[in-house]
Amino acid sequence: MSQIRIGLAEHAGGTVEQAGAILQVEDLRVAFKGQGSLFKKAPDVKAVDGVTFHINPSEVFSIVGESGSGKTTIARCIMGFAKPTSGIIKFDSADVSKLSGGTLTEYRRDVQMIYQDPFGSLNPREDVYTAITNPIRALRGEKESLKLRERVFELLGEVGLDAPEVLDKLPHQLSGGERQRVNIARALAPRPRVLIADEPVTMVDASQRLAILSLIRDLKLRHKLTVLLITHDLATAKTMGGRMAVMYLGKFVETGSTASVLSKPHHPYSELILSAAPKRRSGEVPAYDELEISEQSEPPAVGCPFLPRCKYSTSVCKEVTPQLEEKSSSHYAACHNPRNA
Amino acid sequence: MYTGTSTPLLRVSNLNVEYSVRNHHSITAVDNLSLEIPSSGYTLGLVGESGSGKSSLGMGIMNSIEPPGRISSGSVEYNGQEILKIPPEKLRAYRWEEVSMIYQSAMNSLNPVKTAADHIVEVLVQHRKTPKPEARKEALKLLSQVGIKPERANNFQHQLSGGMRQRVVIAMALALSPKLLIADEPTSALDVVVQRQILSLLKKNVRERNLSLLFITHEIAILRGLVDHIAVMYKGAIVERGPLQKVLDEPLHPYTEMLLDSLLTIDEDPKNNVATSTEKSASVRDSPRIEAGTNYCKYVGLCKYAFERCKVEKPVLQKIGQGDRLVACHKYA
Amino acid sequence: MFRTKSAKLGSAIVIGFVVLALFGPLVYPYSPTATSRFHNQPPNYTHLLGTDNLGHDVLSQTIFGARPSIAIGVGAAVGAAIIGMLVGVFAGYYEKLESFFTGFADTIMTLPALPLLILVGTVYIANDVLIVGLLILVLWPPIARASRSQILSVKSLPYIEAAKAGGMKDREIIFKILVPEIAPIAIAYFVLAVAGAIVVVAGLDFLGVGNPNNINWGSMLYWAQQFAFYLGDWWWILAPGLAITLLATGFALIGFSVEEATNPRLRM
Repeated sequence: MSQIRIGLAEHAGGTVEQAGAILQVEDLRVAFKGQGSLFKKAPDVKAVDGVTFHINPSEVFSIVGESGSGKTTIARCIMGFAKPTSGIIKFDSADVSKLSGGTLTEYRRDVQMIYQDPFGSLNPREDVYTAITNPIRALRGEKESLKLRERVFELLGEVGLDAPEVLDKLPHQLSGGERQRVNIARALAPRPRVLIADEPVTMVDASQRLAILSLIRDLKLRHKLTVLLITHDLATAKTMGGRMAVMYLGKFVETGSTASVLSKPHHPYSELILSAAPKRRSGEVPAYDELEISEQSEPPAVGCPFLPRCKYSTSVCKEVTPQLEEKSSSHYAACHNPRNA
Repeated sequence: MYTGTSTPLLRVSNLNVEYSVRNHHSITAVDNLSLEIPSSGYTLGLVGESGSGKSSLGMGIMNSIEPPGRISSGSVEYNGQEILKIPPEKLRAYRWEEVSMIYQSAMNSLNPVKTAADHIVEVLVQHRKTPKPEARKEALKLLSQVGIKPERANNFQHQLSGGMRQRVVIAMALALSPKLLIADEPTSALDVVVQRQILSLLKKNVRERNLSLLFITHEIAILRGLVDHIAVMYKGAIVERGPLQKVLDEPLHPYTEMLLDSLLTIDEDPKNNVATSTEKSASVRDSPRIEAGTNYCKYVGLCKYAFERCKVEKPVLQKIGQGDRLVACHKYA
Repeated sequence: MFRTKSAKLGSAIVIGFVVLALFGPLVYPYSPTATSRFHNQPPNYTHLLGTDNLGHDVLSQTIFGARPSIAIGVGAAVGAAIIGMLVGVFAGYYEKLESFFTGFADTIMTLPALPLLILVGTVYIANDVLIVGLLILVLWPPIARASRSQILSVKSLPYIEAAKAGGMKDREIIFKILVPEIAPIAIAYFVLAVAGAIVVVAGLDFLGVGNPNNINWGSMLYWAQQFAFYLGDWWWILAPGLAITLLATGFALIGFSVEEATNPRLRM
C-alpha cells in the first residue's frame, strides 16, 4: 500500500494524494469501444487517457479543452453517469465507484451538476417549483410543507429570479438565461458541497453569460462551494479564477493557477488556443495562413500527441512522450520545449 | 447611409416574417425591417441574440422561409428586381448564382455518399450545365482556394473533420461566383482554433472576389477584421448600424451598449462589475406574443435610459449627425 | 388532437357503435335469436335489413353483434397494449435485455397472424378466451417496438440524467416520466390494434374457427356465405360486412389521428 503511495507522490503534476482534498481523481482512463465495420475492427477511442488531479475544498478547478478532448467524460464519471475503464475517483477519500444505496444518495446530495443545455435539462412538463423541489424531496426526504416552499423562494431569490413570477412557469415559458438560473437553483437545492458546471454558459445568450458566471462565483463564496468547471472557452475559465488544466486528446497537457496559465502559457497548445480566442481589443481575423489546417487526430503510441500541429517541435518530441512536469512554480506542462518557462 | 443614385445590390423594405404557433397565434420574427447593401465588396456583420430574428432575415433574403414561417409583407429587391415574387426558375438562378447562403448546420447536411469534390461538381453541372470534366477541374480549384488539397478532394463526409466540411460548404457557396454571400453562424459549432482559420479563409475569399458579405452571428468579437460595417438586431428590428469600429468604440443604442459591456473575452475584464443582476421576469420582457406594430420600444423593459416616450412610441431607425451611423432610439431623436 | 376531421368522423362512428352495443337490447326490434317464417326477405318495413334463411332479423343481429366485436377488440388490444408497453419500456430502458426482447418481438411479428390463428383455432376448440389470448399474442409486438423506440429517444435527453442526479430512482423515472412520454404513441397503436382485432376476429368467425352458433358479424357472414350467394340475399352479406368495415375504420381513423398528433409534439 505504501508502495502505491510513493508512486503517487512521484506522479507529475503536483497532485500527490492531498490530505483534505475534497475530490481526487487518480489515473482516470475511459475508453470507448471502436465503431468498426464487419470486416475492420476500429481501435478503441481513448476519451480519457490517464488523468490525475485533485480539488481542494472551496476551490475552483477548470478543465479547458475543445470538443473531443474528454473533459465532459471526466465530469460524467465523477457524477457516476459514465464508467471509468480504470482509475479511481475519490470524494472525501471514499471511492465513488463503490457507492450504492444510502451512500450514493448522500453523494448525490453533496455533488451536483449544472448542465450545458438549459432547455434540455429541464423536464418540459414540470414547472419551476417541481423542478427545484424534486431533488430536495428525493435526496433529503423532505415532504411538501411550508418550509419547503420557503426554501424554494430562498433559492430562486439567490439566483436572481422573482419567485412569484416564475414558480408555476414551464421551461418553454422562460428565457434561456432564466432557465439556466433555474438549473442552478435546482443544483443548489439539496445543499451540495461540490458543484460541477458543464459548459454553464455556452448555450446562454452572450449578454447573459457574464451575469450567470458572476452568479456562480457569488454562490460559491456564499456557500463555500467547491466548483469544477468544464469549458472550451478560456474567457469563462478566466472569470472563475482558481486553478485550471488544459486538456488535449484525453490528457492534461498543462496545469497551474488560472492566472498563470492564461498569462504565461507553457504548452504550445495552450498558446494556440489563447491566440485564437476572440478578443475585445486585438486579434482581429488574421490573413489567411496557407498551411493546411491540421486538426486533432489519433494520438501516437509514443511521442507528443500535439506534434502534428506544433511549431516548436524537435526530434525528442517524436521519440519521448512528454509527462506533466513542473516548469515554473506550481505550473506544470507536458512539453519538451515549453514556452515562457 | 446609402447616397448613390444607382440601384443598391440588395434592398430589403419593410420586411415582415411571422411564424405560426399553436392556438392560431403567430410570433413576429422580423418586424418591418429595412436594410440595404449598396454595392459589391460591402461587408456587413449582423449581430443578434437568440430571438432577434437574424436567421429569419437571412432566409427571407434568400426567399427560403418554410412553413410554419412565412413572409407576411415587405419586399426584397436584388439589383432592382423583386425576389419574393419571381417564378421558381428565376429563383433558382438567384440563389447560388447571385446570392448564396452558408448555414451553421450545413456542414452536417453534406451528402454522405458523395465526395467533397462531387458536391461542387453537382452544383456546377446543375446550374451551369458545365460538362463534367471541366466541372471537376473547377471543383478542385475551388477546394484548393478553401484550403483543401487535391488529395483530400475525394474524401467523404465522414472522413472530413468539422472544419473541413464547413470549407466544402463554403466552396459550394462560392462555386457559381455569387455577388452576395450570406453566412449564418458558420463557425459556431467549430473549435476556436478552427473557427479562426475558417474566418480568415472567408475573409480572403471575400476580399479577392470583391464579394458582398452578410455575416450573421451572436458573437460580436469575431467580426473584427472580417467586416467593415455592423448592424445590431433586437427582437426583429435593426436598432443600430454603422462602421464596425465606430460602433464598437462608441455604441449609441442602449442594447448595443449592454452587449459590449457584458462581452466576455480573454483580454479584458468587462466594463462594469456586473453583479448577479436580477433577471427581469418573463412577463415584463419576454412575452413571445409581441405582435408587429405595437407602439412602444421593445427594449423598454431592460433599458436603463428609458423614459416616458419610450413606452408609447416606437423609435425609428434614423441617421445621427453626419456620417453613416443609424440608431433607433428616442435618446437621439 | 381530436380536432381533425378524420378524428371527429372516427369518433362519431365508434361512439355510434358503442351506443348500439350498450343499448342494443332496447333498440333492436326483434330478438336476434328469434326465427320466423319470413325467411330470406329483402329489406322491407317489418324487417329493415331483411331476414336470413331462418327468419332471423338481420338488423337485430347486426346490432347485437356490436357487443362481442367491441368487447373482444378492445379487450385484446388492452392486453396487447399492457404487455407491449411493459416490454417496450423495459427493453428500451435496460438495454442489457434489449436484444432478447427485440428478437422475440420481431420473431412474432414475422409470423403470419391469420394463418397461425386459424391453425390454432382448428386444432383446439375455439372459445372466446383462447381467441383473445391469441390476438394479444399477435398484437403486442408493434406496440412494444413503438414504445421502445420512443423510450430510446427520450432516455438520452439531459433532463433524465438530471433527474437521476437529483436522486430519482430508476423505477420512478420509468413510471413517472417515461411512461407518460410514450403514452400518446402507445394510445395510437392501441387504437389501431383494436381496429385490427375487430377485423381478425370477424375473419376467424367467418372461417368457422369460432363457434358459428354465436351471433356475431363473422358468424353471420359464415352462414351468409353458405346460403346468401346463390340465393342472391345481398342484404345478409352487406349488413355485417359493412358493420365490420365501418367500426374498424372508425377506430383506424382515430388511431391515425392520434399518431399524427403525437408527432408534432416531439418537435418541441
